[in-house]
Amino acid sequence: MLPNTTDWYGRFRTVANAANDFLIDRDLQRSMQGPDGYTGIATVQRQDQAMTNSMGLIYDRSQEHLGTSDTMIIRTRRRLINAARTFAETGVTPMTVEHPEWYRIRSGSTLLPVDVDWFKATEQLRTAFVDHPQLDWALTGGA
Amino acid sequence: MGRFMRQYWIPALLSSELPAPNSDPVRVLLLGEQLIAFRDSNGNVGLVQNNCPHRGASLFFGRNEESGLRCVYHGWKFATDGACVDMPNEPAESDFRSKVRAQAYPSRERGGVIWAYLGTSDTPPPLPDLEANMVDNAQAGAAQMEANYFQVLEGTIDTVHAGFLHRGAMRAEDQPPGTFAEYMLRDRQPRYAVVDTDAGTSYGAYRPGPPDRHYWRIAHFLLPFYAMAPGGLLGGGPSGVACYVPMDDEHTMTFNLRASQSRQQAMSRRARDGATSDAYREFIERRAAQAQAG
Repeated sequence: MLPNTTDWYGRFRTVANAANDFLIDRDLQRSMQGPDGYTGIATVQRQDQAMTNSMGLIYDRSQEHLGTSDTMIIRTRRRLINAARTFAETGVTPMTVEHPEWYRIRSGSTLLPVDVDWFKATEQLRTAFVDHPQLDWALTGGA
Repeated sequence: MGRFMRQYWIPALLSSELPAPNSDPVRVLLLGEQLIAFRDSNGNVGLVQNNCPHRGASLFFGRNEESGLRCVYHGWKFATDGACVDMPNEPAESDFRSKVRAQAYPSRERGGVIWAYLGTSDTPPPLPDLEANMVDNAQAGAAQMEANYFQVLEGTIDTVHAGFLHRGAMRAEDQPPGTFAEYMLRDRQPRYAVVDTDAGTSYGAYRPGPPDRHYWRIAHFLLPFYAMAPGGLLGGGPSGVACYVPMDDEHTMTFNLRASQSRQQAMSRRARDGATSDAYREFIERRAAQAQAG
């Protein structure tokens, strides 16, 4: 992080940024070696930031070509737009504001039998503030 | 969209940005609105409009003194709730002071984050029950991004990129055998299930795992600007939450909420011990060091 300044935009700026091409190392990228050998950009955070920032400040979504692997993005845009539209039309406080307990959830990875309903099968695992002492982090292998 | 977002509590600053009573005021840009944050001599946080209601000079230059922020231009002083508590340039008998208020927003502090409510309800709603911000070992960090908040958020719910952008040079056979890391790299084209939920949307991306099992990566979008990523072990402790707070349309302050992790550190240690290649071991060690450095 760069030191914070008192400017409106002076807080929590990253060292790697658009002006220095996120410190991309072309030799490393050519090498295809090590965890950053594909991008040549060090760290997951910088890799994400470089991609997001390189689209421009607000990308024109009409220029995209979304495929089947983009379903979550499509569905989430619709969910947010519908929620905002409902509020604009009715003025009623969004349900999620009144239900803080809906935010008690967890994400992560797991193994499931091939024939189960994933959403039902993970209900307890997705619930916050529940202990599952039998689980072993070694299963992740760092992923 | 801005009015919609104002119905929700919004992470505004890290508590550490206002480290002590009467510490320096901070310029905060939130949903395009310029605010001055200060911690008064009682430790309470104020979030008030930038321009003094008198003639518009910035309260950033104010003196943070005895339970209020005093504009240095003519000495008007405001409490954390926006009330004008002193107006020394007006005649002593004037009640003008009671007719002037600075726009101020309610705030709460929890888990290292100062939350703001910019909405219209007289009684602010409860804070969202985000586990990583509520546990005893709650930690918070922040990073500014130069892009629209939703563009940044989309990167976190785009699961397929991880096998390319973050792991494009890594091979399945170098991973600890029988782990998520191995399954992920054996198949870079997961299939997908997406559902609407009470609070937003969720996806499960699945690939072949061990015999008769699928390896699932499960993640969430929560209204209005939260994302929870699919890394780590589902059910293995509080999940990190990324809050993509719009500073304005083109700048995002990402607040990362997480539980400081004995468990995650254990995960890294175990993964390193089980790693089969030097490159992977280095990778895990670097990740662990980064996690500690924040």
